[in-house]
Amino acid sequence: MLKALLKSEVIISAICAAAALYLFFETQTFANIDVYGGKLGSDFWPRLILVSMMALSAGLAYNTIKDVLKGKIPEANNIKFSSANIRFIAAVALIATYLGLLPVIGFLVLTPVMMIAFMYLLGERSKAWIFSIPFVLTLGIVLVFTKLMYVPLPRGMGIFLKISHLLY
Amino acid sequence: MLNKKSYVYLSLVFMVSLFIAFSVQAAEKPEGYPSQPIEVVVQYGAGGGSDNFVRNLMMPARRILGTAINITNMTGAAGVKAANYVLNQPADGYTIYNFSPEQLINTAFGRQNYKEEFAPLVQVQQDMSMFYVNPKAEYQTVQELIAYAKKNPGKVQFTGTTPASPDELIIMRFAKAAGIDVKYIPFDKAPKTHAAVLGGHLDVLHEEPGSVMSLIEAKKLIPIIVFNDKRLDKFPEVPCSVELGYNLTTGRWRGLAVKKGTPQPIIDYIAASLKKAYEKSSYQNYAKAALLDQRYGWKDPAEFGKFWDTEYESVKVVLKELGYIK
Amino acid sequence: MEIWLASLLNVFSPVALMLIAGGALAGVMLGAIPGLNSPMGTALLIPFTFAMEPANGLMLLTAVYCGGTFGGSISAILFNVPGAPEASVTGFDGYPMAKSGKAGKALGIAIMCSCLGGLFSVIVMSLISPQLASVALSFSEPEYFALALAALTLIASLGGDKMIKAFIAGCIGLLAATIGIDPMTSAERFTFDGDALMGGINFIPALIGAFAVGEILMTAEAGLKKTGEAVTKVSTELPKIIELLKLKWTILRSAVIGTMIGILPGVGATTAAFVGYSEAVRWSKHPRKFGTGIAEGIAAPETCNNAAAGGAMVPLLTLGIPGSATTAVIIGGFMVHGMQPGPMLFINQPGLMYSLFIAMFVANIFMLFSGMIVAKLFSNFRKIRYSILGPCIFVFATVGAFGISNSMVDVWIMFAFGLIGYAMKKFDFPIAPLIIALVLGELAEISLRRGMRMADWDISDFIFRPIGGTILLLTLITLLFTIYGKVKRKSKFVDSKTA
Repeated sequence: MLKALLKSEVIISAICAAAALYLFFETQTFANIDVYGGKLGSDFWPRLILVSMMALSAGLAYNTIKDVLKGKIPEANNIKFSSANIRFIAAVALIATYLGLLPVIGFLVLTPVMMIAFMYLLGERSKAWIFSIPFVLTLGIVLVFTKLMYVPLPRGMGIFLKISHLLY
Repeated sequence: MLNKKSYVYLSLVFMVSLFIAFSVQAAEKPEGYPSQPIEVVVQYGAGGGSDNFVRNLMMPARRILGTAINITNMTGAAGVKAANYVLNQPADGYTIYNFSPEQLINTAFGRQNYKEEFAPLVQVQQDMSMFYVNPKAEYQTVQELIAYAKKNPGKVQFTGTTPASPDELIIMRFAKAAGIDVKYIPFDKAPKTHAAVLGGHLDVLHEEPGSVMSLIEAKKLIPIIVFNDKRLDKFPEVPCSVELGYNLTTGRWRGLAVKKGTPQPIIDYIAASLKKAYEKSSYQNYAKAALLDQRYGWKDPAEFGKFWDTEYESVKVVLKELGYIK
Repeated sequence: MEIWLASLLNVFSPVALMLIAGGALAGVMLGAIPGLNSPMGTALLIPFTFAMEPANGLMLLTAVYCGGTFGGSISAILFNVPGAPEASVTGFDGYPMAKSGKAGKALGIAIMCSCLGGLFSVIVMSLISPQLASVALSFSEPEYFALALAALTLIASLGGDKMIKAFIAGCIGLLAATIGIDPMTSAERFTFDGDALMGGINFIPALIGAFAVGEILMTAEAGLKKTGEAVTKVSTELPKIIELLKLKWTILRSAVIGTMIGILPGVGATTAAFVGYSEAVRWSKHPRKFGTGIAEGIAAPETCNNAAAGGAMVPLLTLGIPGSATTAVIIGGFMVHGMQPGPMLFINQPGLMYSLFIAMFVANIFMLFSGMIVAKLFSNFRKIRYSILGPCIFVFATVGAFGISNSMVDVWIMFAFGLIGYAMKKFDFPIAPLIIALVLGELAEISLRRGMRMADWDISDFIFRPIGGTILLLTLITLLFTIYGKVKRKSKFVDSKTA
């Protein structure tokens, strides 16, 4: 029984159900605007989905437990907390930092830096590639997007704003 | 072939005309402005009434201001997204916001605060609200509509764009003045409201005449009232609200604002330059084609700012009556 | 007939042909680059058309529009980052096919089907435009709801054996679609008192995140051991006649569906592509193969979205009601010449209308060639190894999400959905149902609530309608049939195991 509960499916169902329950309470905070004596207000549809989601989660958990007890699912499907996830965490951290700094440093300066780091992270070691592609691509995007199509890519602040203004 | 004398003469003429050109300009050109491209942020999608307004005004304005003017569409959340973007830029007059009645409504909802965020630039257009019915409907005039609605309370369905919008406010103000009980069915985009009335699924359409002109001419939509103090030259047979005894003349207005804190000389200079763009034939042609010349819409910064405050008060009253805000 | 001949001459003048060819090429390019799109392109071109003959200017705009509708599928197939919303579905099967080394074939099918779908809708449109428009007007909220529900129930078929998981993914998508300001009451939903989510979740950043960013994260974790899988053949090859004949029913069905949905005001080519895909799954003999990279999965949405692009011109030209974002911009193109599309234009200037029809026909053929050129250009990227390509795709994903409304919020949404997509892949949840639900969720919810308000909350008024009711009934039958079939198959499976 304990083994069954550890199945990733069961844990996920529990998370889904808990999230749905939390959001269900959140729907009570919706402003109850009732201008035309209406039924089916703002909270009707979200609640319908959240209830179905709780029911589906329960169904998924039930099915998984049943299957495990019958011995139909091989043991290998358990959640593993492997230690080989550093690259994943590094990639997530890199992306988050990039997005966070984009309004401060601007697209033009930050993007090549991020790309070089990302390529290195993905295992690219050819210096020729690492130091050419990021600059070519960034410059190309900046020129096409801002000069041709007037997309206001983030320019950054302070000194970076000045650098960006040199090009766009 | 010019000799020295005529050279001097010519340059004199040139300088004098330059001088005249500058003194005619109402506002003095602030030092160093504009030294970079100006960005105009439109909170509605390309192709809509507000987008057309900005693009057609900025086409001549580019040459007058002598710099590139880029138009950015930033849709979503009734302008809150676009407003946040503008507020994140420096208050230097290089970012202009397309200020619409929705910003006043958002302030009433507590989503924006126009008084603290924006300084008025200019109002350019004063559009007109009109109601239309399907030619197959039981009522073909506003009097018949009111009589029908009184007999069938809550049955007549009006349509316009988005809830708690200027469309809904004018419809509900009219309903209250006429003493009728009606329903409002919002759509997120104006074309869908046209289709709903054309298809006979809804009864009365609220719209500015410019975008349904072809349907009116083809007699697929019958205009029944215009919210104005006099009848329009274009539709002499359509009664205006004031002659029917309803003192309602509001309509959608379109204008521009900048972030609060922008230096006043820059505001005045942009306003004066836009006025020139407004008078250019390329803008006036568009205004004529879109029936935007029926009411004079120009307001300078001070006038526009005062107008915001009075509009805001009346918006708040109606929203409260409808139950949107407490 | 005379008008047709005059219009024909009008279109086949050198200037017009050049504008159409250039427009189609520009459209395909705009579509193919994530973050740039054809509404943007047409809006920028309008000032230039001011100086042209009205007919020429409008032909240019419609050519950009036709090309842009196809262009997005190039980046969808090659990188799983759709360059335009219309191409969202194409990646479902196009990308897996490209990954298995058949990028050229996938692109070929997409180009050919786009062209065929476009041509079909142009022919239909030029023959019976006014009649189609009145059919479109007879659709009201119950019909829209039925249409959305019909496509949504196909989620049951998409999950393979994991039907419950597919439904949970669908629920997440439906829920995400409710975030933001409620279109019926203007109440804020799930915004947690902030501004960021007030505008709701646009499905393009979500889709780019769940598919492309999710995959980048997966690869980063796996450590690129399997990056040897270089795409062997990227040169575009058009499908052979025999392959097209195999797809004939898919193409024909999708062309009809696409044209029909295109003419409905306010449901555009994107929805058409989703519905076309759903119907392809519904009628297929092997529905479980969808999503693994099969030809039908590319042919259906591609035929549909280009057919819808043509269809969207019907309400525009006959009623002045734009059926999509780009056609809304094209109205501006009419207005700079002091014209307004609508019934009067059809009466006053029939020549212009017929010229536009012919121009669209020609544009679809030019699109075939420009599509090949641009696809060839882009597929060079595919030859690069993933350690270099991955970061490039990520940058394109970022600007693609940013370009939707020029806001960083959309980029963060992309990142969040990247994590969600990663988790879903990790725990074996299908992602397609989430995207389908996210796209169709608002249409389903709002048409139900709006329709019920219009019917004074009387459910029988809402259901008992000829078109809407029929679609609802058919949906219900197929849904029950699917679930029954799945349960039966499962019990059979159990029996054979225990026996």
